[in-house]
Amino acid sequence: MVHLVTSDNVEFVVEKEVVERSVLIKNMLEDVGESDQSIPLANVSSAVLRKVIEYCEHHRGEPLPSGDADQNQDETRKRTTDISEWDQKFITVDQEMLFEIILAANYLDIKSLLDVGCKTVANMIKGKTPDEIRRLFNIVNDFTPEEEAQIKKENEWAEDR
Amino acid sequence: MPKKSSVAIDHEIEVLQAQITILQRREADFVHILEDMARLRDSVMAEQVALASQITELENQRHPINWLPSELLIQIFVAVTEDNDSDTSAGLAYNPSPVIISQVCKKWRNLAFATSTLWSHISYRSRTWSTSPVCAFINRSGSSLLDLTFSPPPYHIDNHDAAEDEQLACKYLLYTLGSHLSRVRSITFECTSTASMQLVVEALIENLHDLKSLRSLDLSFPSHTPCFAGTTLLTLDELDGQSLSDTPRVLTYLRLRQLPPRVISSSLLRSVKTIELSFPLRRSHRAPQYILRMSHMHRFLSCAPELQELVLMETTPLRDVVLEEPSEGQTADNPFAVVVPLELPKLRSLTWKFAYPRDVYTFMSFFNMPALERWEILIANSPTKRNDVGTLRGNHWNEPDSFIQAEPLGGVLSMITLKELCVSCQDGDSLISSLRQFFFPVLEQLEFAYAGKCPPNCDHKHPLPRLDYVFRDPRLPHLTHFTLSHLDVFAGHGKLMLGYMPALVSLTLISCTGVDGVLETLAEAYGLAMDAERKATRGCGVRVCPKLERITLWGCSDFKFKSLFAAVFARAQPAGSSMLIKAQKDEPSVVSTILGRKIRPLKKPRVASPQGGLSSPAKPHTTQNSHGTASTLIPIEEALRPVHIACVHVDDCPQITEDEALLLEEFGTVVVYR
Repeated sequence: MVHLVTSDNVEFVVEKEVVERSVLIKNMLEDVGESDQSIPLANVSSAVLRKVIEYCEHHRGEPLPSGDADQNQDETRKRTTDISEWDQKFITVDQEMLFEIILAANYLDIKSLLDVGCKTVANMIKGKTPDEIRRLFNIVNDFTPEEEAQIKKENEWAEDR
Repeated sequence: MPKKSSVAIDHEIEVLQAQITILQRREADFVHILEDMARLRDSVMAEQVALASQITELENQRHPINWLPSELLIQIFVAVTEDNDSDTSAGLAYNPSPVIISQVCKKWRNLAFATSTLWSHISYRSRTWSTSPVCAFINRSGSSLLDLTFSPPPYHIDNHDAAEDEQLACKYLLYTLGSHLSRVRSITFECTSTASMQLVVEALIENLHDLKSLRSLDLSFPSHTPCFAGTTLLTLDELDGQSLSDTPRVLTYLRLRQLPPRVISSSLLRSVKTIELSFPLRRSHRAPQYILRMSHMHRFLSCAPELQELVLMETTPLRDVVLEEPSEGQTADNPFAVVVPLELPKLRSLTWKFAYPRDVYTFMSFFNMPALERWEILIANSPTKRNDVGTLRGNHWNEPDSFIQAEPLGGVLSMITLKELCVSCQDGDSLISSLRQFFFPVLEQLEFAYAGKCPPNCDHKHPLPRLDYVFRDPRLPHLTHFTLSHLDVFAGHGKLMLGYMPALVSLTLISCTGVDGVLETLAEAYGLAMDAERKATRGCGVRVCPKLERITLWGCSDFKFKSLFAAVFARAQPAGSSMLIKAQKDEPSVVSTILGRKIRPLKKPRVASPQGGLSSPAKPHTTQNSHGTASTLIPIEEALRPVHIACVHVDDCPQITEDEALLLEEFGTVVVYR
């Protein structure tokens, strides 16, 4: 069992097989060896780690994605933004939690979870106009009128939609 | 006015000049002061801007999207642009995603233009040619590898204006890309006009040397009845064409829909690992048309020695050849070419969607797949009507009964390496008739699914046939994972079925009925034993699947919790069971007690061990019988000491409450409830 301590000082005890989906933790465990010492995760809160562990537990035993596998996928066919049914249910959370999960997956180096998070945000963006995207994510339109005119000019071919 | 003397004038000028000098000095002082003030004002303004920017930065931190560092934003942008199949790009001459991303805010714009791969997906889904978007994308993509998609809206085959526009767009697109072909990574080309397709095929043939980066090629006609009149696509044969053996090839994925396979150069096929063929046939009076024949398929696949995955969508080649049958001998008047099964030495996975039950064995017998590990098959009627069905189903062209005269049926194919089999069907009869001529001696994963139309909450599922009706040999001694989907398991069938699977580890039932019967079978005790602590008899051991660790029930609404509880309980190790401990020491007498009758131990077979000595009695379920198939009998020690259920997954089974499901945790079982 592995002891993990979150940024809000909550300790989680997780099976090694489950938590080793995180390359960061896997490497830490390999470096430290067998030890009961807790691993501090300063960038992850308890609420987020709970979700991350839920994901890792569900995908327990599945082969870890390797760099080669990713390359092969790129080579053979186009990647899609399809997400499995379970992952879709899992990632149906509010925006704050979604981006926290993405950051945690990036920090903990859990590639498959990072992919699910990024694909979810990609699906939210797809098919929307710039204005709809700004409203969705509360992004401020910081273009000056001159810049707006320049953008319009350089994409004239895109205007006649 | 008295006239002034020149001395007086000079004096007055000197005085005035002195005054001017004083004023100039004062002016210079003012300028200096103003400059200082302006500088001061600029600095105050800059400070304001900096503080405002900090406020904006802090305000931005309120919104989660701004938490992401640039590299993660780029990853998301790439995911958006990679999948340009969505309806949003329909009818457009470009992939709109990167354009839209670059118009959201300054940060996104800078990132979009700094990421050349965002612009590398050149999508053209319009019939009206426009140079600007293609050139803009090519320029912005820098030196990235390009993914080209040409898929204008389909139109009626008789619309000549549309066909002309499509050909023109295709021609200009190929011309514009001419000097960039060496960095084209994938080509997806879908057109209605065969003349447009010919332009692409010719470009591929002419530029074979330049396609050094081409990894994926997808050429298809969306129409079910492309007419090849006026093109050379039916006569073109590149399989024997340029060899270019010195040119390294990287093409690994090839998909063809309705396009004769022989138009692809054998040089390109050399490295292909995945091939997807789609040749649905439909009644049509248009000519000339292309019909995929077994001889074409043999020749085509023989040019792909690296093939690992084959996908057939609504594709059953017409049999224009017969298999060599040395034992039976060939009749002299046999009009068909005789072939031997084509070996696909590296093929690991075969997916076949919409196969006719009767075609399955005949098709498979034309190939030798010594490395095949995974086979997914959908046995169902094609969504499109096939042309001359009677002559196509497992028969030869124009001679419906010819195969009966030319070659015998009734052979058996042994799939000696197949580990995973997924079968979907539209009815039980097709399931029974399609797999009877196969042996699956080492199968580890099996899935049966009903693929017919069924309302979401339909209670009348399609019945699962008995396993011994489906397979020639129903014993599955190596099976560890078994899944049933949208099927009804008849009472009694469950027991029979699970009895053939002694090594089962994971059982998954998705939207099935008859689940109670399956669970009751799993709960069935091997016999009765005296519980030393409670001084009473209780069931002990299990009759089927002693190694089962995981039960998954999704969308099954007709079973009771007590059945699930009983199945888990029967496999939970009873605390302090003296009987089982005793069983290890004095097994025959304990078994006799449990079964209530005298059991005489069998003579131990004396099998030579690899070390040269005599081995202990071999475990029955791993013993090979005279036919080379392992037995499915369960050793008594395994039946009496089943593995406890480690995980139960209950999803969308409304009759089971979470509190009920969590009761199973008492037995040390992990419960996932949704």
